[in-house]
Amino acid sequence: MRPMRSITAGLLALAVPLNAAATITIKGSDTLVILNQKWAEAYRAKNPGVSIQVTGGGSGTGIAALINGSTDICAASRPMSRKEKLSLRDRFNTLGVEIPVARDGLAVYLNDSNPVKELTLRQVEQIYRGKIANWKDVGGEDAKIILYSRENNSGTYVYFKDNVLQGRDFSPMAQSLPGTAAVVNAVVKDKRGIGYGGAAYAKGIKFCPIKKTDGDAAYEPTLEHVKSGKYPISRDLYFYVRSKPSGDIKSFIGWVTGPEGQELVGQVGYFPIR
Amino acid sequence: MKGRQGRLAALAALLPVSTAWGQEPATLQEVRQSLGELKSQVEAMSESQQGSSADVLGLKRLKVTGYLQARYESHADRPADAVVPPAAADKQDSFSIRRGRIKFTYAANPTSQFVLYPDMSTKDGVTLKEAYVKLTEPWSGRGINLIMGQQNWFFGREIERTSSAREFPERARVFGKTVFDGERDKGARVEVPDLPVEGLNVKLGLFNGNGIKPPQTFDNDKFKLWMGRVAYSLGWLDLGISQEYDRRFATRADGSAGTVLKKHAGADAFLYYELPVLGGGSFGGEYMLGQGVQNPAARQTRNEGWFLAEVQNLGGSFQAAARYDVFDADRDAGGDVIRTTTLAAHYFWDDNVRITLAWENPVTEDPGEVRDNTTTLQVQYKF
Repeated sequence: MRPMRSITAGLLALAVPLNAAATITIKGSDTLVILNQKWAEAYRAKNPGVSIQVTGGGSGTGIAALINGSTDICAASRPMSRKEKLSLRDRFNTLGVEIPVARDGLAVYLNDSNPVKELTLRQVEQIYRGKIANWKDVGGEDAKIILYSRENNSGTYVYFKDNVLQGRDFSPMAQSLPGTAAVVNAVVKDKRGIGYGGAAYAKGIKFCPIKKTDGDAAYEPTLEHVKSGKYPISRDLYFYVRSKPSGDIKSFIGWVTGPEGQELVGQVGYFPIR
Repeated sequence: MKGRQGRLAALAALLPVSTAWGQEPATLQEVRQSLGELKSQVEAMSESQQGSSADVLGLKRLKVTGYLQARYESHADRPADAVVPPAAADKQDSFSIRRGRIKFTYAANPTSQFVLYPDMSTKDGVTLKEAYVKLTEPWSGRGINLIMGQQNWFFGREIERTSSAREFPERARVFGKTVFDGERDKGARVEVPDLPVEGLNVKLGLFNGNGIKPPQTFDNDKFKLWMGRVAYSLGWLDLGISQEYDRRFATRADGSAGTVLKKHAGADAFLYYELPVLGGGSFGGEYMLGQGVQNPAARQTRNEGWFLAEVQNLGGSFQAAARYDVFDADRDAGGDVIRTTTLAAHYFWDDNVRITLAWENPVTEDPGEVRDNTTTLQVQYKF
């Protein structure tokens, strides 16, 4: 019995410091990168003993890192799939813990000079599936629509495909760009361009007001419209951790979801969870 | 065309005059020329980048994964001065490459997939573990699959689970080397995931029934092996039942040759939980009852087996596991039950490497049989 106790005590001693991270790593969603960096800076200023490393790469990349153990926190702009949860369980025997940290209105970007005033969800779907290929068909000029999209490791891509395209494939003409900033940049330079991404990326483009159906009013992704559910493409943004957070990770996540962290959410252009 | 030539002539006539007036117009022209050159270069780069993008897209369709298990095994009950003959099944203490596998998956579109999975570590050189085409129907949106070729059997959880993720160096004796030796076969299966409720997974397959291990990897009779499995996962609890049915020419229980049945039914259950500080763990087991073994030369017997396993993560980098398995190869004969205890500890060195120290203690009912306690040190690299 005594050797068994010693082994158990030894294992516990090994395990405890592993969970108490001096450096917290956050990896994943490009949509959340700006907000994560703001959170990290503000939290470090208050807690100089804690170092927080933030990297992007897309929600899929972050989830893969959570599964293989190379990040403490995964930032994701879409929920983890069942398959991903089972992969996590295969290695860590847990299904992960999901923590909503902000809300986002997934904006449809148009060039400032584009005369199109609004689109229905159905029209956005038809545009991105290549069924509507000219701006004149949706109230714009006689010009080809140039589609800018994200790569398939992006949570924004997956959310847009599942919720706007109803799971159907993007047009092969859609150009895949590596991040939301790249999509915005492309639409800024291209009068005929259309893109989609987080509402926090607003420089040099305009948000296209979106209608749920033909009979509804069109809304922009503002705090009021996202909170009330009037804006039809809104989503939660998440942190995922492998198991119930403890130590520095618990303190950091508590701060992020608390009043100080949520105040920064609004400053960056997203919407607080409460 | 004429107008354009006229404008060019006029520009040419102006040029010397402009140059004579001063440096400014010449500089503007140089800037324009440079801009034109730059534009051409950017266009050329853009074209080149489009070509590269197509190449990258092609490469992204090919997924290469694999793992290698370098192992040292020590057999406690073998005398130090014993030399094991090369053909013997039992090994002396030795280094080995237990598994060295690379899996190539090519998917150009969501409705089909190509899989080739060779093992390069066997004594016969490179052998093919799996090779199949997977078709996914596009109509229901549920992803119903038809898989045809050489593939895993799906009887229970242990057989189908990849060795790179399993917590013990070898499968439980009840499944590993006897009833489902080789764990794979040539055939076809239909998988119906998440119908009619999420988490419910139904599989139905038809196989040759001979497995993939020599000497008989082709089908020498008209009989086929039917296999079915229904599994339900709540996330924290997995439940499953499996059934196989096959007829074959083999040695009957009374010693005569003829058509015999190989049929088994099984059930499995695994519970997942989380402990504060330590992290996730699982507890569960599998049970199997039936008759016949994979080797057609073996005598027909009624057999039974089960195992219980406990796995506990210890923080982010350590994991401990224990398993107790029992296999009765011939329920009608006495003294052949093997009870095996396996303990394993894992250290996850980095994202790719797992170091395992395991100890296996098989105990037979026959007191005359040599016990073969094995200690295994294994380093696995997975990508």
